[in-house]
Amino acid sequence: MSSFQVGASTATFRSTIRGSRQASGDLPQLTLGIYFPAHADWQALLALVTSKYGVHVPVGAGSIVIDIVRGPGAGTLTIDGLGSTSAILTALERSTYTVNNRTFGSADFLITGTPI
Amino acid sequence: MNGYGCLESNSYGLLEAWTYADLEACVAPEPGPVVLRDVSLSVVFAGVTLTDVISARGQIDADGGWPTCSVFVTAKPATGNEEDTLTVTAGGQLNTLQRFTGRVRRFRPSAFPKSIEIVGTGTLAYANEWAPAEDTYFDETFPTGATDQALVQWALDQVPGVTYTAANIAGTGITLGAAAGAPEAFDWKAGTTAWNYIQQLDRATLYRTYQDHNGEIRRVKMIGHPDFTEDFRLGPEHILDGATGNRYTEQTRNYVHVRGHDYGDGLGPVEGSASGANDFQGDGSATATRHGEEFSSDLIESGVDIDTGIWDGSPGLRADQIADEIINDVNKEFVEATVPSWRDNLDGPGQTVLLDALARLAIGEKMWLQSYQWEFNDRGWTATYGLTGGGLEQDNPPPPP
Repeated sequence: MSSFQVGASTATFRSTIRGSRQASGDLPQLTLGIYFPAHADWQALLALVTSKYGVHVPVGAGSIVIDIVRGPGAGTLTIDGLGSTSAILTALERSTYTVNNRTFGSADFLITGTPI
Repeated sequence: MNGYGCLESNSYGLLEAWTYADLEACVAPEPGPVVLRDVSLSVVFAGVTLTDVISARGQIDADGGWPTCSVFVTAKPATGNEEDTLTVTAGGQLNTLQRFTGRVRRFRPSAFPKSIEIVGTGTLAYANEWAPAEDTYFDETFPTGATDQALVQWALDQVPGVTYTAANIAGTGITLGAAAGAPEAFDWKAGTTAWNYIQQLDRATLYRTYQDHNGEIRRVKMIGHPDFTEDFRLGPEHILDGATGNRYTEQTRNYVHVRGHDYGDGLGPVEGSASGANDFQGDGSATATRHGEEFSSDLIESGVDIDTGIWDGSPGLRADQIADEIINDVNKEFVEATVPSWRDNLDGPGQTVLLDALARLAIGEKMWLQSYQWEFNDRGWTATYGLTGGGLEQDNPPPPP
């Protein structure tokens, strides 16, 4: 199981190899394929989405500054078998619906900690 | 990856003494090169906190006089109209500070996407809208003259809706309008706004009157030099995309000639001069290498014989002393910069900023903060610093931001 925790709120989910990918940028981006066994799993993760944020990238060396405008902000992303880091959940999607309320989708994370 | 390295680098004896919180901190994810800040924006209009604010932006400019602010909302607020108070608080969690307070002067709606811009200004803007209906004769109001700070306060006193703290209105302390034959230069003509009258005094005395983010009207000495001590530093780690700099010598002058009041005695206006030297223009005291700057103000009552330098003995502002101050402002390489930044500290005009960006902007020196713009939108907080500089530093402590 994987998890994403912001403060006292934790969402656990099953990340899948299929649909997962990484991208470089000012900060690394990680998209995880996700399997939601129940609707509650989707809702738990949905509550941790930061929908408005700004990334300030200074022209010189120095820290990138992220303004959290709307949403809970950064938390600890732990991926079973890969490790954990700090991240912001920036988008969540459900695209495939199967029987018994089981769904597949994806979650986009902006990695604010050590890249994994 | 987890930071287990810090566990491995400690002895078992030491680890035994740790609390659970120590251990938890040790295995927490290692921090990355990121600063996270929760930013917020709160707008109160006519005593009501607005709940549909899309964005806001504001500006304080030493030359503009009063602060301005625009708040964008989805619809006109149910409570409040023009001339009601608008207050904006914004910034990161460590710097959630009042950025503007003033009066709403305008609503600017857009049909699609539906929104409305609430435009506010500081109350000092009223001074630009009020003018006396008839001439006010200076010698009737101030028979023995008055200091420039007293005159500015007197002008502000005439304007409805403007309040100030007398201690914040500084000045030269020199009694003006006391020289025989000069008071008419200080008459307040009908139709001349209070702001124009104040600006004439500011120009002659090299002071500036402006209103800060808290609505305090201040009058401070602001000329083109930074103070010896910087208030803060702007380095590459603070500077965002879009920063520009400008170094030029087109306006460099090695000689200043100041003309003041003309008493009509056939000798022309009182005058004074000052000269300097620089590497490419040479010595301004020599006519052949002189590059002159002319400055005139009818409020300057005293001067010197331009050839002998002998003072005429008249009271009031002295043309030669004004020239001595202006020469430092023009006998220099002019340096300007516009710098966007994520910095959310409370900054304002008159501060001295060390712009430490030699590699990127060809500027690595102290500069004077002339204008300060801020914006809060769905991408968070940004501020833009308008800086001027060049020349020598001097003892010129800043006003509060």
